[in-house]
Amino acid sequence: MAEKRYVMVVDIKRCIGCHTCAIACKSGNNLPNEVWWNRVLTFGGKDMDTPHGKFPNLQKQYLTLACQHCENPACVKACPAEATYKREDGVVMQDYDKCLGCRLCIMACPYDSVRTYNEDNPEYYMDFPIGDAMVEPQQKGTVSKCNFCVDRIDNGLLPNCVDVCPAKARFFGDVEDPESEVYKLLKSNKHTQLLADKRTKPSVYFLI
Amino acid sequence: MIRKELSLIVNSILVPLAAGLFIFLAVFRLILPDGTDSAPVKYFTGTGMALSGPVILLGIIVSLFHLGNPFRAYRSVKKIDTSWLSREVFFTGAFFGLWLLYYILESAGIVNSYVICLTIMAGFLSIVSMANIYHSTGKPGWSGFNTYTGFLGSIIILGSVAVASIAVFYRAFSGEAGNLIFISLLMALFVTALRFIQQSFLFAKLKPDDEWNMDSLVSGSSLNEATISRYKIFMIAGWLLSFTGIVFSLLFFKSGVLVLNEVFAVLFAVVLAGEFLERCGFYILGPE
Repeated sequence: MAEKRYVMVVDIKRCIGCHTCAIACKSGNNLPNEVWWNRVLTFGGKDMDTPHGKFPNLQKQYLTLACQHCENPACVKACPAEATYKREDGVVMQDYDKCLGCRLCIMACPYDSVRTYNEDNPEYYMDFPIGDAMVEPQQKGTVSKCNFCVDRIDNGLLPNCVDVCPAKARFFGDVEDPESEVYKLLKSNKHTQLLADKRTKPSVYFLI
Repeated sequence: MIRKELSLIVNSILVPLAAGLFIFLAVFRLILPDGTDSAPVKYFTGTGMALSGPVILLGIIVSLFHLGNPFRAYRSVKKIDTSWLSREVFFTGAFFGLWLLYYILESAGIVNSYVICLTIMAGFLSIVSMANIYHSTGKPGWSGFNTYTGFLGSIIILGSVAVASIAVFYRAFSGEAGNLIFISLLMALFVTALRFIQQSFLFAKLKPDDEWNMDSLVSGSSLNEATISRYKIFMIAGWLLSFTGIVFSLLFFKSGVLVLNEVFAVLFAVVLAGEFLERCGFYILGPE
């Protein structure tokens, strides 16, 4: 049997733009103020909830964006300190203890704002951590990003964003396992990856 | 972006300046026949090559301020096999180490051509790696040949004007040495002409994204109108300063008029400011 390879599948036709995934990610991972690993975009522009089309025929089509956990990640190649690395199961990780804060991973990544740089000490609206107790604390002067909620998936749970999606638009699993939901979804549906021409081979697929 | 990357910008000016100083003067020494090895020429080449070391060191120190965790900087050479930043750190370190060896040998009266050649190579490769850090990202304005003329061009532009200023200080600008300095200033003028042509094409190519699709929406390469305008202002202002400084250096040098320390110090400062502004413009295109 082939090695495990985790992928995420997002059915954008089902996404209702409720931002629950973004909130669950932020609270579950105890992300500091202004830090979002997962965002919900609309096709009208880069500002939140911008519709596309011409009035009165405006539409909102949603697209979720976070780290794409590429098979051929530009960030891992660019990181000079081995702080950005790929696990055997395909999850691209950021080791805060090794990160220099050079931000080269941000420059090398073809995707917009999927990483955040903690320039100062992380600050929180609450005076106590609200997220998962297993989550590694963020550090000043380091870069952070989505890690597919490794602390959860390593314990057999789904990533926060997948777990809470009320529209059941997100799926997660091992694509090498023919019995997995993600395998079946990708086999039976038309799908695409973001910026496929960059040849980074993202592990996040969008059903279209 | 400029505030965040200020230390990188300064580093990317200082290291090419040091490389330019060392490379030009080392080549001058090789080319100049023994007969012209007069005291002023010897002083000016020796001083210039000696000065490049502290400039490299200053560049390295300044670059540390760019890091979120400067005390982990030792980790930055861990990925020489894939990371251009690791390579840049390695070659810049080698450049300084070899310069130190050159300086110690020179102080002891030993001229070792191998050490000088290796120092030149390390300095050049340091700047090639620096340019490749940005070129390899594929971002608009960074992925073209203009990145190389930007960084490698700084070696020629800053190096030639700095050499001319030092030569004027030591009154070592007559005869063969003067001809070589004039040629190096002409090379700098050629680089500014090349940059002008490249920037003209790039200005026409850079367009803001106004129609969004799946890829442009998520791409870190999308630019808005304000960013492009700021980029153009910095690049034009920088280019004008560099061009002015080089042209006046050439004119004064050739005609023998106003060949004064103060005048050439000002011209060097003008070119330095021009390179700084052009580099600021370059970094404006980076991720916020």
